[in-house]
Amino acid sequence: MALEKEMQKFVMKNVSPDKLQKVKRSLKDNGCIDIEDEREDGAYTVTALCPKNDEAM
Amino acid sequence: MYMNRINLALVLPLFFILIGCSTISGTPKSPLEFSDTRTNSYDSEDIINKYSKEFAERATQDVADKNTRNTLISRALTIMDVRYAEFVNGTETDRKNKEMFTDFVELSMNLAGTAVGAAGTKTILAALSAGVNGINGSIDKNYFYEKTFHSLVAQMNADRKDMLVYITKGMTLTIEDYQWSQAVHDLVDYYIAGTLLGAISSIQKEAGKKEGEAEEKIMEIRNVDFKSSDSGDWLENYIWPGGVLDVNKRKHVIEKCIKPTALWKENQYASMVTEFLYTAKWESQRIDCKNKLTETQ
Repeated sequence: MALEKEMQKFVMKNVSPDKLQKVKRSLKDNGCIDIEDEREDGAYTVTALCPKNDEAM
Repeated sequence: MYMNRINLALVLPLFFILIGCSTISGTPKSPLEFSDTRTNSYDSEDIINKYSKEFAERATQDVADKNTRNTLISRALTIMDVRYAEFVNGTETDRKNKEMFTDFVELSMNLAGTAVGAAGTKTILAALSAGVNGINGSIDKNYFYEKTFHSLVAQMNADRKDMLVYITKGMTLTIEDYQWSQAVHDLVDYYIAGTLLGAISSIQKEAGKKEGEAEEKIMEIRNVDFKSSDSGDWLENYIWPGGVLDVNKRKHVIEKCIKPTALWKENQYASMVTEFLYTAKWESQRIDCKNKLTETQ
């Protein structure tokens, strides 16, 4: 049976276009997955699934 | 009347034999009849044997140039492809069909024997029932074998294709970058990929991998607002100097700047650093962090 992994759905609104890739890179490099972005009124909403921080556990 | 019942006992299994034969037809006729060719043509057999012997002799020797290496690889692939085609197109499917037929014949004989040796209807019915159950058992055993075999062939084909792509890519490289010893190793892997044991192993690995994958359960949803800032830009360049993550510097930021703040308690997930760098809520803490790290630099 597969283990359950606790995840957080992280939603960051109003991300400026020039920082979109930096924010996504930051989430990715810190271990988040399924990182997606959606444009809304000239800015982006970035969503990601993030596991527990190893150091916080 | 009694003879009619015996005939029924004999005819019924034969009916199922015909159904069985029509549903399990083996494989389509191969465009290359390897078995026939090898049986009828000594030339083909000789070539296969020649390549096989050559591969065995050269496998442990050095090969100094790309052309010779690629020729040897091509010949080894030819041997393996011919033998794989023989294996898949021929023996296994035929063997199991023959076994299934034999099972039916044995059942028919047993059934007839029981029916003839008995005196009453009850015995004939019992024999028929046993025969039907037996026939079902025979169908299931072979049917599932066939299904399994085809799945294994699909796995073998997929694994062989993966290895072939790898080997073909290696053949484009120089002899220094793809040495003959490495090619031999890959060719052996290519052979193993075309075996039932290799396919089972591959399926087990895939199943194990899926078993190990954790199911994701969302425990919380965290909504934050982005805010660009000078301190955020500074920390961004600190953690990703030249655009590449510096793990130690990220750890340093977590230890020196995030742990003393409320963020450490509020967000214990992997989004913590991103939130610290890019949201309005932690602006004053970011400035403190920048000052602290600037002083220590």
